[in-house]
Amino acid sequence: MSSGAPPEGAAPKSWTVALRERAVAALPPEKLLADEQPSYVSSWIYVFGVLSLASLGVIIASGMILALKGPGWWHFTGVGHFFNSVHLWSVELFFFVMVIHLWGKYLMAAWRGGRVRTWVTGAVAFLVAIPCTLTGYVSQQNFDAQWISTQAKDSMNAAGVGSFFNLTNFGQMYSYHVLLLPLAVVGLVVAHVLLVRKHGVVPPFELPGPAPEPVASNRPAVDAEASS
Amino acid sequence: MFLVMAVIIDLSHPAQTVHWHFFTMSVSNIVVIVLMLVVFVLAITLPFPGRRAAGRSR
Amino acid sequence: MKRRERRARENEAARQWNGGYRPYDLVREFAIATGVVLVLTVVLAIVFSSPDDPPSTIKQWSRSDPVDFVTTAVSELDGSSTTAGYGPPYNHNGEGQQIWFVHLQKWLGVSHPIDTAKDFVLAPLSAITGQPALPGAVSAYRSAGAKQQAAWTTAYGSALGKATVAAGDSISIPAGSYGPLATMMPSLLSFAQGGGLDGALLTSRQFYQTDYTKPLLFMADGGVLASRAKAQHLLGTQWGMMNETGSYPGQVWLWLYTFWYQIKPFSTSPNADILVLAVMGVLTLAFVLVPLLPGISDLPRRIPIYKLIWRDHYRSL
Repeated sequence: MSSGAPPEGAAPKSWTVALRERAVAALPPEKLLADEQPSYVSSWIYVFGVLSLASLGVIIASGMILALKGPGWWHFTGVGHFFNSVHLWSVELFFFVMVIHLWGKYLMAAWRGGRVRTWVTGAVAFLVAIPCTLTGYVSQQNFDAQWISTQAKDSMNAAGVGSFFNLTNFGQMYSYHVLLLPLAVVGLVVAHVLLVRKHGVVPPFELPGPAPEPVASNRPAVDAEASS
Repeated sequence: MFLVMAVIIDLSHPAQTVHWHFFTMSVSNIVVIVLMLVVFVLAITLPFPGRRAAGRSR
Repeated sequence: MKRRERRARENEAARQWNGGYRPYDLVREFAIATGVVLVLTVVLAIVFSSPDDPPSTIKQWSRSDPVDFVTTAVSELDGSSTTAGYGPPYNHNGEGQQIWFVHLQKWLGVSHPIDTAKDFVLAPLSAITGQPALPGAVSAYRSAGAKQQAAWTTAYGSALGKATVAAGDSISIPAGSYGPLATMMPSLLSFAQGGGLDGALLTSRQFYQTDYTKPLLFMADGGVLASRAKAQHLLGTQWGMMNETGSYPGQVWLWLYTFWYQIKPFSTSPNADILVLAVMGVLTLAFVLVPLLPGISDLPRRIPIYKLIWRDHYRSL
């Protein structure tokens, strides 16, 4: 297997090697799964990102169980209804912790230092989660689904979106809900987390006044080339 | 026939709402919002365990 | 130092942390977080369960409120129902909503054609068998001129205002000149009450069907869904977008979206939906681009909450 730049006059580097080297350069394993964090990561507000991830995991797991027996199952069995309840409460929890995470990140101006894409992917993930939730509500096949679909369709139609995204079409909404939109949310969340691992957690604001003595690093200088 | 589930706390009755001028919100939603604010304040004020002095060598 | 220079310096300083690190087990943190979330959701699911109000059906609606059902059916027949005059994507009978010169609803066209007279009344009636007078009545209605049809539907509609519910959930109206409607509407009512109309509207195109647009629009044109929604605080004027049936928490994150509908000019505008979407579109873009917005992106620096979050760090300096 080749590694490093090809010798002079050799065949062009394989795409696989190029991709692998780019990925490893951007996120070496010790950065992807770091076993240490900057000393300022010392507040409970920092756990709300991982709580959002965990909630998303429970949403997907409970959703997969609901999908196993089809969309009508949960209306007629206790077990099915239980998993529907888990799915509903994990969604409520997901938005609960994600919004607190958002408040914290805003108040920390976490986009500083080249972290704008981290903010953008997080914001868009939140925004895409909303239609994902909407398609879930209209897939419930109960009165709530009937009401939400017949009401929200007016907004969709007013924007012309209703011509290709029909809230009262259960089959279409179910497809968006169990496949297309979760894929989009997960894709955005993965990009968001990888950006956090790549750029690290944003350092604190410098306090106004004379610059304090810099805190000595307790690490060998390894990450200068690896980070961007 | 839709299953009627046994629950510990029954939330199936129509919601109580709070009205203030044109503002209307269900008590359950207000509880959620207040809880979010409380949890946020706790998150930024409670001490975080296991913090060691910066600059400690490994 | 100008704001831009200050921000550029601050950004450079924030790129890389050259200070102290401490051990931190990310995988264990994720495992604990998952455990916490699992326990919380399971406890909430056991304690509160989840709502599941059964859906309304045309069968139930026509039995519990036959007058409202027949009134709605007549409005579908004479083109006065909400769906009949909706415009795109269902038909060309309305302009749809607009903002300035932008008519997105109209431009995207009729993609889900519904002719309410034909789809909701005449076609289902044509499928009913075993009623000798019915095909003739439908044919008589179809072949009558528009003016004659309007005379019949207007007369029948007025009579429905004085209708009473008779035996077997049928309705009784004062005598009048209703033409073929006197045969057609009672047939449609009994077809609906037997459950036939739910099925007929769903499978009108093909056997396998997942598109509930027709039965839903028919019910939405009447009062059955709205009256249930009002009892559950789900109406727009009740900030219903944020609410769930029963006393369950709903979609709290939609607070700003539903807020606009409560105030002028949105609350009184026929174009409320597109106007609110436009406002929310601008705010959404601003939300995504917060880092690039002067003022908004400077605010965290002025709010001393960051001093609380990073107090351990500042103390150690």
